[in-house]
Amino acid sequence: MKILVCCGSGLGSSFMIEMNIKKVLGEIGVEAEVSHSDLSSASGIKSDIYVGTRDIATQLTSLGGIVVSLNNMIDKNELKEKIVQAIDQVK
Amino acid sequence: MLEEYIEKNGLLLQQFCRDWEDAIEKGAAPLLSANSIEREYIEAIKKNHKEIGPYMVIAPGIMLSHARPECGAKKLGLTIMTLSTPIVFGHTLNDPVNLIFTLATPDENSHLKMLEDLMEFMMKADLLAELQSVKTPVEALAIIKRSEEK
Repeated sequence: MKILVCCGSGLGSSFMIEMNIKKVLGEIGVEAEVSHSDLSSASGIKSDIYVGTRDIATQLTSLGGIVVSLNNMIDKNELKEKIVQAIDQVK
Repeated sequence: MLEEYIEKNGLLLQQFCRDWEDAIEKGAAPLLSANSIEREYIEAIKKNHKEIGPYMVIAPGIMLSHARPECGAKKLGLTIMTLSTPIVFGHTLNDPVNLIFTLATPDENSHLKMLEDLMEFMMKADLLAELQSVKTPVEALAIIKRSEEK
């Protein structure tokens, strides 16, 4: 399973979300390849799940994967809930 | 250790800003003074906000002000600014903003440790609330250092 986290510049919030996703995956015992990129590169990186903050997520819907839209990047409960749901959809 | 990355005069407390552009300028000013960024870096942050949207408002009240290395970032740097009056950035859920982290990284990797430390700090809501109340860099630094103890 591949998870791509996107943000406007591809090096700030996307990396921070990536860190938290890896923690969540560890907690729930799921193995996945997690990486991050900027919005414009995202279309070239085929993934099962695309993750972005609210404003970014609306621009990820055409990429063919499941989109996870985050309202609050530092809310680990929100992240966990939404990631678990997305992983279930992929399976 | 988050404090290692903070730019000289980079703890800006209870700042009054007219609007979001002024807030981005003030947050980045110490980085410009320290020659960690070029002037164009600040313009790039504003442009991203205008063109891509308020995605840098990452959580309720918090903005992570930054642009890409090639936009004029020369050295690794960080400033932390609290606002005396919250500012609207146009985010549907997370407005208004009262805490701005401005960061610069010269490449795609130098800042990763800094972001990890920053994330640790941001996830401690009680310390963020305390940071909002202090007025001096000495007090702010003490709060930041405490985030590393627990």
